Amino acid sequence: MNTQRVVGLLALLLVSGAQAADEERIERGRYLLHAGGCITCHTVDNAEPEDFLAGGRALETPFGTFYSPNITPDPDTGIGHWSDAEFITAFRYGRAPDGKRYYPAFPYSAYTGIKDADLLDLKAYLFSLEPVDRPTPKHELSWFAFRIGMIFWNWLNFEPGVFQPDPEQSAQWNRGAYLVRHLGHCGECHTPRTWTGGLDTSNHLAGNREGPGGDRVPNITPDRNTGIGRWSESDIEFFLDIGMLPDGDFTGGSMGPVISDSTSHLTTEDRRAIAAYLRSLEPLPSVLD
Amino acid sequence: MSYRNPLIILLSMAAVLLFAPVHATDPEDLIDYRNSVMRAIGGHSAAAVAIVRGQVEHDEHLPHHAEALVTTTRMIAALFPAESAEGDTDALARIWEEPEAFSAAIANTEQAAEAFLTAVNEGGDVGSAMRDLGMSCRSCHEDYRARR
Ligand code: HEC
Ligand code: HEC
Ligand code: HEC
Repeated sequence: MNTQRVVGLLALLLVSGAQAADEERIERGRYLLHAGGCITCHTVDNAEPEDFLAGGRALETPFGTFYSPNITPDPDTGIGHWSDAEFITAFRYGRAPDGKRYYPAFPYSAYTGIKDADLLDLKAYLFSLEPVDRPTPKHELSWFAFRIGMIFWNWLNFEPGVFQPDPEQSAQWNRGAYLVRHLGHCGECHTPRTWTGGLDTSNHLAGNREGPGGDRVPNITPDRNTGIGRWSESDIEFFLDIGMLPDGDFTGGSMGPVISDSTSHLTTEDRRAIAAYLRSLEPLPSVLD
Repeated sequence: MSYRNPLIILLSMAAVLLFAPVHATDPEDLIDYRNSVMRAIGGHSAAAVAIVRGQVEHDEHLPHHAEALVTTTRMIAALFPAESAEGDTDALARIWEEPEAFSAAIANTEQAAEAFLTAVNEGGDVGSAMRDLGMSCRSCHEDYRARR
């Protein structure tokens, strides 16, 4: 074998090695996209394949109607020109590349805890998609919801910072905490809000009267009477897989898409980790009663 | 025999009492009936799931739960008369505003229940048929049922 051939072969191996590494990142990013529940907000209802993650979904809130942006890698109407640092800043600090503050309709107060490596895998996945050229409609907000107001909202309610594992707890617990508090952003619906619009942390996951679309969102702390204290770990794991409650009822409302787009795509181990974390919480009485 | 026979008078009074409510069913009774049937469907679903997941060993019951699911999901179409739109119910007004889409949601569940029965009887993929059935319940609950 001559040297030229050897070099050529090596180069080929290196390139395909790099490709395999890229594909693994994209695959991990696809998984994180599900864990993060991104599809539900960033894709319109009854979507065609070309609508996937192209935004434009109307999200009704007490502050008005938000339209989710196009997050395909289109350079003009999507995020095609974003750097890695800009991508991380959007999630960690809730700030756009031009410095403006995002509205909390983009749940960055939960996503702030996502690790850099996971964010970069997510970005690798998004950048592997076909770009869709589709401008995002303007938000239709009530007069008091202007971006300057976000300075006050952030100051009152937002603490940026990546997830810090608790060394006292098991790896499974920490995985569950990471999935529930950050990627899965369960508290965005299951935790009530204070009058300033921040999460009422003293009632972490204890239910919420004002969920999306006016849903009453149940208590998912392990309180035996008003929460899910009677559910076994396997009941919770299976619920997150197919949406069935232990009595055979099936969930609906805004939890339906959480199951369809997010938790049903997770591994059984990850769903068990979520269940183990939920069962470890302090049982709190439901805020709904 | 006189038509003033007290027995006949009594019987006709009883008949009036027995049958009168049928003509103007209380909406709350319609809603309660709807929820009772839904709970029966839920009971068979939970029981079937426990067998499919191997939590209990009652495999011989599975075909019966599957048949019951076919029978009871066929009742859903009759559970939503217009008079039952208001009252102590989680059913959303959309049900009566878009009858075609609502009927499609019912047909979806009926077919999923039939496919589940077929899978059970003919040794198909019972787990994924159960999942599809569950998905059909969830999708109607997502669109047409609120928690208030
Ligand atoms: C609850 C709905 C919701 C979820 C869930 C959600 N987003 Fe968003 N996202 C939004 C909204 C609304 C905005 C725009 C906020 C604004 O304009 O201030 C946004 C903004 C963004 C932006 C900035 C786009 C731009 O052009 O500035 C990116 C990137 C993004 N989201 C990616 C994601 C990813 C990745 C996930 C999943 C990990 C996700 N989002 C989950 C609603 C959501
Ligand atoms: C978009 C809002 C939203 C998000 C995000 C959300 N949930 Fe829910 N969840 C709901 C609603 C609404 C219900 C009640 C649905 C119903 O009544 O049919 C619910 C129901 C549940 C239930 C059943 C409780 C009961 O007693 O019926 C569990 C368990 C649950 N959610 C866990 C989670 C977990 C874990 C996460 C995060 C991975 C999560 N949810 C994220 C809205 C949400
Ligand atoms: C076509 C729509 C539709 C389909 C399909 C459907 N449901 Fe329902 N279900 C409803 C509505 C609407 C309610 C709320 C009724 C009310 O409150 O009056 C409900 C309520 C329920 C309840 C709660 C009863 C109670 O006591 O509060 C259970 C349990 C239930 N459904 C189980 C199921 C199961 C299991 C399936 C699938 C095998 C299913 N449903 C399919 C529409 C549907």
